[in-house]
Amino acid sequence: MPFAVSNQTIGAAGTLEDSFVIPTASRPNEFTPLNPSVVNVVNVGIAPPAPTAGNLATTIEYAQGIVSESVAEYGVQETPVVITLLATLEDAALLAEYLVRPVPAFWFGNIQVVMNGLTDAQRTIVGSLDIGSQLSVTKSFPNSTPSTVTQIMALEGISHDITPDRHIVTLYTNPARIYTYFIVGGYTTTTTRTNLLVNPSFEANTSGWTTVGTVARTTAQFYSGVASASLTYAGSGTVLIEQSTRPVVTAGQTYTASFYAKQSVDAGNLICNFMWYNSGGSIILDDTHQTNNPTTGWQRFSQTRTAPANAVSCSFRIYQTAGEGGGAVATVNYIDAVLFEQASSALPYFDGTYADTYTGYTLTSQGWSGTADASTSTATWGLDSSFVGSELDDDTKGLG
Amino acid sequence: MAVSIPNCGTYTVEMDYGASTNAFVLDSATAGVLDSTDYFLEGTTDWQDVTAYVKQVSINRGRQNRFRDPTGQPSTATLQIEDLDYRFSLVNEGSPYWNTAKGRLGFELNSGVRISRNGTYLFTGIITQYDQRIENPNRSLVTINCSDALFSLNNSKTTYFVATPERSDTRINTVLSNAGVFAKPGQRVLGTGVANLGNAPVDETASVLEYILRINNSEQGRVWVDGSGNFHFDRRLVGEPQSLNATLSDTGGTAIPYTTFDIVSN
Repeated sequence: MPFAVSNQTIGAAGTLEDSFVIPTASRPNEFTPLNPSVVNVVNVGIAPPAPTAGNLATTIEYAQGIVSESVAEYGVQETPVVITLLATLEDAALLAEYLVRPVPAFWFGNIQVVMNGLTDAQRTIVGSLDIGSQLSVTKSFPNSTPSTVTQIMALEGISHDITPDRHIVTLYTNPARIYTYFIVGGYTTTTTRTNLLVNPSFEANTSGWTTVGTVARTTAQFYSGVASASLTYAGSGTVLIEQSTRPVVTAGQTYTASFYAKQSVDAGNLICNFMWYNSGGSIILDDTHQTNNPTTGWQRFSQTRTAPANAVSCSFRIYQTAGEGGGAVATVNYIDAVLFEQASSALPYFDGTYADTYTGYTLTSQGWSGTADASTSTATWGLDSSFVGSELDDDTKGLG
Repeated sequence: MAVSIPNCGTYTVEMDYGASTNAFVLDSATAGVLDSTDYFLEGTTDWQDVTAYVKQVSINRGRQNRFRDPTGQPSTATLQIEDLDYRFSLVNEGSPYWNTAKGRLGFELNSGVRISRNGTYLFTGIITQYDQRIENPNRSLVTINCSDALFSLNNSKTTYFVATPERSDTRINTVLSNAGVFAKPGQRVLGTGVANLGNAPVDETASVLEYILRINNSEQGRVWVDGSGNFHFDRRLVGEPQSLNATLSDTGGTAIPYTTFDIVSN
């Protein structure tokens, strides 16, 4: 969950009364709001400067930490502004982060041990426990999943009830770890994809692409980022783009290329196809020419092919030409977000900066292999259903 | 004398009879001599083992829920005594615990109390309330309520000093020194704080405990006194648990078994 801290100010008088005058005994935990199960807005103030002749009305500065997702789920559960002795707002922000509890927590507590039923060694251990001791507590649950749960607890309190024939010890345990909601876990299943094209979104220029006809970068239209490539077809001839350096491929593997396209007027077809090359740089297969019919709105087109024997590189071409249904009407084709990857179907577009939503996955990292927009790019997604170590797996929360 | 509870251990309950036996006494030829090594200004403790008379001991230390309960609450102990021979009676001048110099029972408000099991102290504190109940015809029940030294910190005021930016544990050490409490070696166990404090003025009207708890408000750690009476200040929880002091389980083996527990929510 995202955690945001902001700095605030308020007038001093009212808060001073609350914070300094109320006797300690009548204040429980000062940061406890009315509903202490969830604390998603924490206000940590720092002591105001003493009033001076030039500034009688001093203000109190305080850091306010908010977990917006918790607020959305549970409503605002806010602590009062508690004036601390902390030195700076940065210190106050750290404390706010420490105090936030965006979801309810559960733990094993109030553990009762009867000394009479223990061995001497066990009695010695229990007898030496004191506040701050750390315990491992395990409970097996029949007909329950998981069948055994272990929690690491810290001893916050202890009570002894001693009579002439028994000694009962009650251990008041609390989570031994801080509520580290911001330390998320990981995904046991991840997928890493590589866009084998350089400059796939034409953000800065058309470098990396070999062109035929009138091709330029334009910011007039774009699917992602701020720009696209414009391929101006004059109603005759050919306009074409392909990568200057052909992506390396492996024979027998399946590749999918995709791109977004729109036209200034709905006229003529865009063709795409794979040109497979061998190690000598010769074309070994001019693969299927796929006819695509863009309109004036952004559409995605894709083609999936398998690299033939001896193929070591491939050029994916996008073009409009009179000989393949280009039509006679002059038009501008806008091309953006071109993806070429080893995949058996068209997956969501990504590059080193931008990524489309990948349903069922969460993007965990992405980047360029070299210069941004001038190199290939890689992105890693985690399978949402494989996510572990989230707050629900923290042993201060739930029983998992 | 100490009492052995079957399959539990050997327990001792001691109460300080009073500081009068070797206290400095003005105008006394023997107890009023300066630099005496036998008589002291406040006297020394005179622990009396009263275990044999105690029917029940209840000790409560710390807090149950750190998310709801404040830290720094004094530990309490309650002793239930069935006083068959009226030795704990507030009116029995023939009691072996009668303080003839004071003309009252030697056990009184602020008298020391300590409770141990197999030599390990479970509680060290002072008497805060002493009640005797008579059930006719002649049964005497005495209830003694005790608190640890945090109780005393509530009754002493802070002294003015110029606060300088420093860590929370450093400030607490200064406050305790200024108050002159927990002054003996080993009586202060101060963890290294996380909170950096500014130079806000010290509240001179606050009690020592209140100001310490204000410091802890910035730290959100723990303030407590252990079973032996030593002051502890723990910093806020940082990092992972380092080592376990005990392993409890219902799965058998060497783990400590328990009878009940609650699944608690904050």
